[in-house]
Parts: sequence; C-alpha cells; structure tokens
Amino acid sequence: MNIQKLLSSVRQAKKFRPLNDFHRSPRSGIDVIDKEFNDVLFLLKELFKQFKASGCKIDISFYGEVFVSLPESVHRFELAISNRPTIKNAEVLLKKLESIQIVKLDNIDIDDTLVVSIKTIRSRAKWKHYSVSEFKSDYCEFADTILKELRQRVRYYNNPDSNEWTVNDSSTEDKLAAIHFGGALLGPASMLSYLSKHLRKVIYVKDLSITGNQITVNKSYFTEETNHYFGKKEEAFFDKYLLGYAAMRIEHDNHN
Amino acid sequence: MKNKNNIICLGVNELFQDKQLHYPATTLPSLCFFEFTQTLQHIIDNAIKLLFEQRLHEVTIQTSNVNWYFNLTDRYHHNIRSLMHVDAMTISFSGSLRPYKQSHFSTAKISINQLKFNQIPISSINLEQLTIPLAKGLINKIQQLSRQYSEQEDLYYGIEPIVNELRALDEKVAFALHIDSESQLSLLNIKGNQIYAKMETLEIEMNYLSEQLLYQVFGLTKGDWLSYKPQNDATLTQLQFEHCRVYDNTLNIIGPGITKAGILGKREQYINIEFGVVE
Repeated sequence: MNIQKLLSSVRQAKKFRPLNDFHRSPRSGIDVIDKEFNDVLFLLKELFKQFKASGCKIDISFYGEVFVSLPESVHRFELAISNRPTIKNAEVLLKKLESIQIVKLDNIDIDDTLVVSIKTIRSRAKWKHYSVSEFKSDYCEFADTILKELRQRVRYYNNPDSNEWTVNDSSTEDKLAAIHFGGALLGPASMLSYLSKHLRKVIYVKDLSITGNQITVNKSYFTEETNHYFGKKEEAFFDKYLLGYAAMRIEHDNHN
Repeated sequence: MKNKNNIICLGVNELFQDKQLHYPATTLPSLCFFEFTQTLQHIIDNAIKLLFEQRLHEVTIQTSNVNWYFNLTDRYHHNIRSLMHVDAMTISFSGSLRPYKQSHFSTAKISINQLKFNQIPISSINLEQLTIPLAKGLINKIQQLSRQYSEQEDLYYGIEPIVNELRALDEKVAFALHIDSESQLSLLNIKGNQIYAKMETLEIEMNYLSEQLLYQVFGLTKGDWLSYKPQNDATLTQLQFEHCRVYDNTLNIIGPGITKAGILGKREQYINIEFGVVE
C-alpha cells in the first residue's frame, strides 16, 4: 500500500476513535487535538517514508491502529501518537491528591505533550515514548531512533510469536465498547443505553455477538445466553462503528 | 529557557447530576491539568466582577485550557467539553465526554489564592476613602437598613416575653380565659415568624450593600488579604476577607488571620470599621 493510502486510512479511522473512550482496553493509534491532527499526519508521512525505505511493512487497522513490522522479523509493533504529560508516575500524584486538593508542578510543560510511542505486540510488552519536540523535525533521525529500538527489542525475542495475528481482529471488548458508546450516543431512552447499563454489572462476558438485529450475550461457562433485539437506529449505528457488522448481516440474511 | 510555568494538577470525581445516566468507569478521567496563566487570571477576575455586579453566586465559563488525563490510556483525552466554575473565592472544573451533554465529572473546589505563585499582596484599608460621595451614599443606605433592622429586632424580642407569659398563664389556669389565648398565641407566633423573616431579608440586603461598599470604595473582594490599623490603637490586624456583616454602626470584616510568617492562620480575626467616624 502506498503512503498516501495509508494516511487516508488513518484519516478515515479518526471517526471511530471516540469508541476508545468506552473501551476497557483501548486501542492504540492517533489521538491528538484536532488542530494538531494535520501536523501529525505530516509527521506520520515522513516517518512512513523512512520506514518504507528500510523495507518495513506498515498496516492500518479499521480502528486506526498503526502496525509496523521489520523485514527481518515476524514481530510486529504498534505505533501511537498522542498527547501525554511528561509525568513519571501518575499513581504518585493520584495518591497525593487523596489527601490534598491541589498539586503544583513546575517541571512539566503543558504545551509540549506530543509523543510518539511504540510497543511490541506481545503480552506484557511495555510502551516506549519519544517526545516529538526532542527531534526538532529531523524525521530521518527520529525514524532511525525508532527502528534502532525495534531491532534491539527483536534481538531479545528468541521465539517467534506463535499467536495468530490479523490487522483487523474484533474482540468482545470492541463490541462491549460499541454498546456503551452507542448507549451514550443514542441517549438514555435507547435500547443500547439500557443494555450498556445492564452489562456494566456483569463481571464476565464470555462471548458476545452482534448479528442482524440481535445481540447475544453469553455470560459464563454455563450456557446462560440472553438475546437482545434492536431496531433500525441501532442497526445504522453498528453499520458505522462496528468492524465486520455489515458482513455479519449479509451472512445472517443468507441464512434466512 | 522558558518562563517558570505554574501547572496545577487536581483530582477528579464523578458528578451525579442525572440519575438516569450511569457513566461507564472508562469515561472518568484520573487527573486534571491546567496552567495558571495571566489570561486565566484575567478571565477569573472578570467573572468575579460579574458576580458582584449581577449579584450572582457562581459563573460558569466554557474553557479549553484544561487537559484531562486518563490513567487507563496514560494520555490526555480531547473529546471533552470543559467548564470552569468561578465563585467569589474558589474555582473548579467540570467536564463531559462527548456524546454526553451534561457534566459528569468535576474537580474539587480550590481557592483562587492557593493558585497564585507569588506572595499575595496585602491591601490596607484607608478610612479616608469613606468620605467620597459614593461611599457616603452606600453608608446612608446601610445605616437606614440597620435602623430598620434594630426596630424589627426590638419588636421581635418585645413579642417574646408576651408569648411566654401567655403560655405560662394558659398552663396555670384551669378554666378558659376571657380572651381566646390559643388563637392569640398562634397569631403572635405568626407575627414573630414574619418579623424574623423580614429581619433575615434585611440582613442579606445589608451584607450585600456592605460587600458592595468594600468592593466599590476599597476595591476589595472576598479572598483578598487585608491589613488594618485602627486610629487610636497600635495593633495591626491582618486577615483574609471571608465575609462581612453590619451590626449597629459597625462593619465587621471577618476571616482567618495572617500570621507573621505570611501564611493563613487558624484563628478568626475581625476588622471593625465604625461608620460613626465618618459623619
């Protein structure tokens, strides 16, 4: 895929980002202030150019995640760009604020928060953050620093990832997030709002499927299934925000 | 080198304004960051001015100067509408994640003085300013209300013994009095309550006028640090203006004292300004 196409997928996926606010394990990707979005696309373009020059493969998912893989390795990396404060440990601040009202910080700059982060797709992998301002638009050096880090990480992984991996996987958490977001978007009178409230009390959802005009929730290992039916409004919502919903519907229609 | 910035970090709590909606835990930020800048100070000053001029309790302004940090994602989320609430002495921020329309989380209220990096200036009260026409007019109004207040007060405390006597008599005497004591008693009670309510309105009006007097004549608002030295007394009183009230011919300004170390003490201090001096 050429770089322009990759960038336009990132731009298109921007409308799905609000789902992440309702996601218990949010997806990575580009989350910046609107006025910075175009600058970030430019940064991304320059980085992609360098990555491509090094033979990397780049994929963009339905939800706007950016995946990079090195030519010599099977391991994949997530790349995220977001605004984050340069605080070392948020837990310490949270603990402090339990007993006092206000903490003054004079060692962080609130206007300089744009950060590029990378992480291996592997359980227990940690994010590594790079402040964009550190590289002063020297994209070549920036991309090299990132690639160097990736190569270094790969060297320590002796066994190749055995997990099946696809660019667009759809998890139960995604569907739950879609239900919560739909509840918020369609208002308190909607069916999704009701279901969202109900599902928040459920500790474990084993499986959840959204097909046709029906949501099936499987709550435990025992066969305890509940069905929830929805109408046109919800259908339009899932059509727009849920990966693979349209395909599922066709399958459902064929059944009938 | 950049100027030393004044970044403030606050905790965030869930806000229940709409019982219908229960918000998922993922929509609650962990921390609120904002920079206390000159511009923000200016906005707050203007809001406080509005509070005084329009007799408001709180002013709410939509703002984009705050950042909400989420621990789950370890970043700021931008899909949030933020409001700043300003009252006479404190500010707080609340917000709502789109697509929600009502604020559903808020920070604690923090005192505006606490935000400032520099030492808070202490303004002194100069009694000579009370001789300007504006001050005189306001003082006249306050005194007029104060007179009305004491008249009502006399009346209120005048009724009380009668009610007590009647009640005692009613209990002592077995047969009915010639006057219907029951109805008289309840009439007097009603009257007493009416007077009390009137006294309260007068008091609120007097407090409002005295706040106006302090604001328009001395330029003082709640939260300011004051110092005052009475004419025939050597002791200097320093305090943070928290509230004020009028009693007879005296205006009391009340608030926690400022210690020699330049911080707020625990004990309440008073500044008494007598209006009689002016006339």
